[in-house]
Amino acid sequence: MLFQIFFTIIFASALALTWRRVRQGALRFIEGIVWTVIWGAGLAIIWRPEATNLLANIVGIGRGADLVMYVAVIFLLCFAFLLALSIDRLERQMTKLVQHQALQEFRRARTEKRS
Amino acid sequence: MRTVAVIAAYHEETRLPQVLEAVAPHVDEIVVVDDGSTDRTFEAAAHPKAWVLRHPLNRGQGAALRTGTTAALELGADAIIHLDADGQHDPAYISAVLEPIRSGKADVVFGSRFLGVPIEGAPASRRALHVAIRIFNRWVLGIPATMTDPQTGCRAFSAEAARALPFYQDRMAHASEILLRVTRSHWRWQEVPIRVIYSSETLKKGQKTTDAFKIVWQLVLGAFHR
Repeated sequence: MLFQIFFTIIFASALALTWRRVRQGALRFIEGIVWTVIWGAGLAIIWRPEATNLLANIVGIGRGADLVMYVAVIFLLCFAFLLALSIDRLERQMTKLVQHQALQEFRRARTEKRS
Repeated sequence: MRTVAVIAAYHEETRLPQVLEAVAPHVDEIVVVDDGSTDRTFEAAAHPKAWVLRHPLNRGQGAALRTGTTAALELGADAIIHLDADGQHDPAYISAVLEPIRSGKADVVFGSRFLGVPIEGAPASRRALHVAIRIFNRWVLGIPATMTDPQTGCRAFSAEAARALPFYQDRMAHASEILLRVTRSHWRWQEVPIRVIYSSETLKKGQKTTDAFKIVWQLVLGAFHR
């Protein structure tokens, strides 16, 4: 029961935070709905884990717990990839800044040499 | 024809002065980009023919070559040649690499280690890396099999081609990205033989076999940016 209560608090807090961010305009309404479905599914799995068996059988996986594990792994891999992509984007922006500075100094040195 | 050599240098204070001396007679000007070195590479790049740019942070060879190419175009270069700062490219072959551009036969020229000139000091691991990248380039990127050197750092562009063929990879993957862009473009390209000399120092600093995975990963990430 402790596990269920702990995760209920986590998911409920996430849900509240999601809609607070929607009200603040940081998230779009449709994104709020998507996150609500995700947190709601989490709550359902916490309190009714046997419900996942039905879905697991449909997709050809024996146990609901295994399905949850596979989905979690896929989700985490996607998350890690998006994170890597985001870091790569930041790196490219940093490179642009560094190049801009190097070229500005080069142009200044050229102007000084000419005059 | 005004020729400019672009050299990306990182921690090359000991070898760079000799490299500049050897390269200078073959080109009109040299652009050295010190890619965030913490040694005295910037000071070591001082040469009457050289413009020295400094990246305040290390951003990789691809990024440094991009900066240097932009500077070379601003200097009015008609042809630009990329060279490594460790002296592994024999400067005696610079004229041969620039010749197809001078004579109007090609817009981009790649110096190849595998066109008959013996390679000095290349270990088996380095050859294995080249084979792996060549297979990847051919079967995944679709780079023609006629391209013999998948990771050459010695390449020349006409000014028009250099302007029209941007590359975005900051680190090792820039070589594959350039090959990909050039071979898929309308620009005329060709390979010419060059002589590459490996020493224990250049091998210590150069690419490792496992770098093939990094290059693939960088190309995968790069594909999602545009």
